[in-house]
Amino acid sequence: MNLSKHKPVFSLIFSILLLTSCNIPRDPNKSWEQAKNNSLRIGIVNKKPSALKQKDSISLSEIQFIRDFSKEYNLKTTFTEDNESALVEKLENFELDLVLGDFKKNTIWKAKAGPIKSFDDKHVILVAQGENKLVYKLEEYIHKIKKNGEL
Amino acid sequence: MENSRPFELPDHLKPKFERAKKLEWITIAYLISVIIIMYLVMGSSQAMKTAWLEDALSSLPSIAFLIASGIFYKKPNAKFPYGYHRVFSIAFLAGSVALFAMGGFLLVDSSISLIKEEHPTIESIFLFDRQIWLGWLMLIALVYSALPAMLLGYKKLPIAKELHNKILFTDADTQKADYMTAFAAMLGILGVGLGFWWADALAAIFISFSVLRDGYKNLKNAIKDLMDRHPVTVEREKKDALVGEIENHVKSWDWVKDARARFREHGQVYFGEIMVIPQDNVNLPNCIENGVKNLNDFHWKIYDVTIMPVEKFPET
Repeated sequence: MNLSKHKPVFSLIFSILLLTSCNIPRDPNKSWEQAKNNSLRIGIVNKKPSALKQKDSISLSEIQFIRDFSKEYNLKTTFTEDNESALVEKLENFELDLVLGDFKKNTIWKAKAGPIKSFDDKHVILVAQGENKLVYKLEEYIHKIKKNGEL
Repeated sequence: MENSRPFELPDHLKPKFERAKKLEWITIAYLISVIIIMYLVMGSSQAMKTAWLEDALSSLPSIAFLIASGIFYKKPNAKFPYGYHRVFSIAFLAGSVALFAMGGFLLVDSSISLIKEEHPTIESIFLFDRQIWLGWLMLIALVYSALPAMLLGYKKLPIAKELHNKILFTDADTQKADYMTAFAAMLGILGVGLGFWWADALAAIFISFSVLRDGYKNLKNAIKDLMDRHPVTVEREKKDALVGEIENHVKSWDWVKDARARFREHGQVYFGEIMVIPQDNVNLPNCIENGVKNLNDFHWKIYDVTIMPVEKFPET
């Protein structure tokens, strides 16, 4: 078998991997950097009054979760309350870093935002599409609190 | 009237055919594992989705070859007086239509993904308490989808040439080049990791083009074969010199003044007619009968031949 003619391609793959491996995943839209330098901008979907009355509403625990997350990484937080479509639009324009609001796995916003597994495995947190570093940090934190049984 | 011989490969090719079958079984088992692994790490990457579908599709020629290899050798009968050799051509056509259609679909799908500026988000998973960016696992899966495939391709290629089997050749030839699509997908994933969202869709478009190109090439060949073109070699698609050799061989018989041959491919073997202008005063039925027998032993690819005596050749 003659593999020698493919050598340049293999070497190219190998060198790219070596050169890039330390910096991946990056922070393409600087969400993580922005959160660290300024504040983590969180959108919260305003619910109907009946939903807000529920004592243990998931939104409340989601908010608590994100407060704990911000504390862990020394991030300031800014909360914005609005309806779902307005918040997702802001997320798309990178005016927000994440949106909380009882979103399920197969949320209709899947095409416009990147849903990532929440801490309870039932709900998802919406982050700006393409963002990797912030997702990486959130997942790291979710894993940590799950492991420590803090939830 | 039908050819009463069941088809048998010559002794030196029988073990090669068995080896081809074995390699195709290995290919299918390997591809199933690739399909599962790629699916598990696919995430929302368009390039991974396209590479995954490409891998799933690449099992078609192997499956077609194995199905056809259980049918083609059957003896001709009243229902199928020419035997079952065309099963390979039909399998080849079906496989290429699937490849072509899927290539088109993938191209549109990937282009939409680029136009809509879909930014893939690649998550991370935890293995043994260590956080791993899913992109790394995708790269490992892609290497696994390419290197063994290449090896299998290189092993099947010479056998396909010897057996004059186009499905096997297409399969081997595509697999041999499979690393290019895996490489494209790898660049796409690395691009996403580095923050270039468009790298994913661009890689997917590249892979779609390669699927579409393979599909088009195979479809063109399959149709030409079914159109009964002059037999061609599997590798370079040059006119097979065997037809000319047969014509010269027949011309060398002492009862033949002149001869013209035409053949067509039925899967691995050739069917055809030879028009001969006989010498005067020969026992024609006897000569033709012996001539057909002689040609049947001339080359294993010559399976069904008719010798037709004429006074002069039709004008072409």
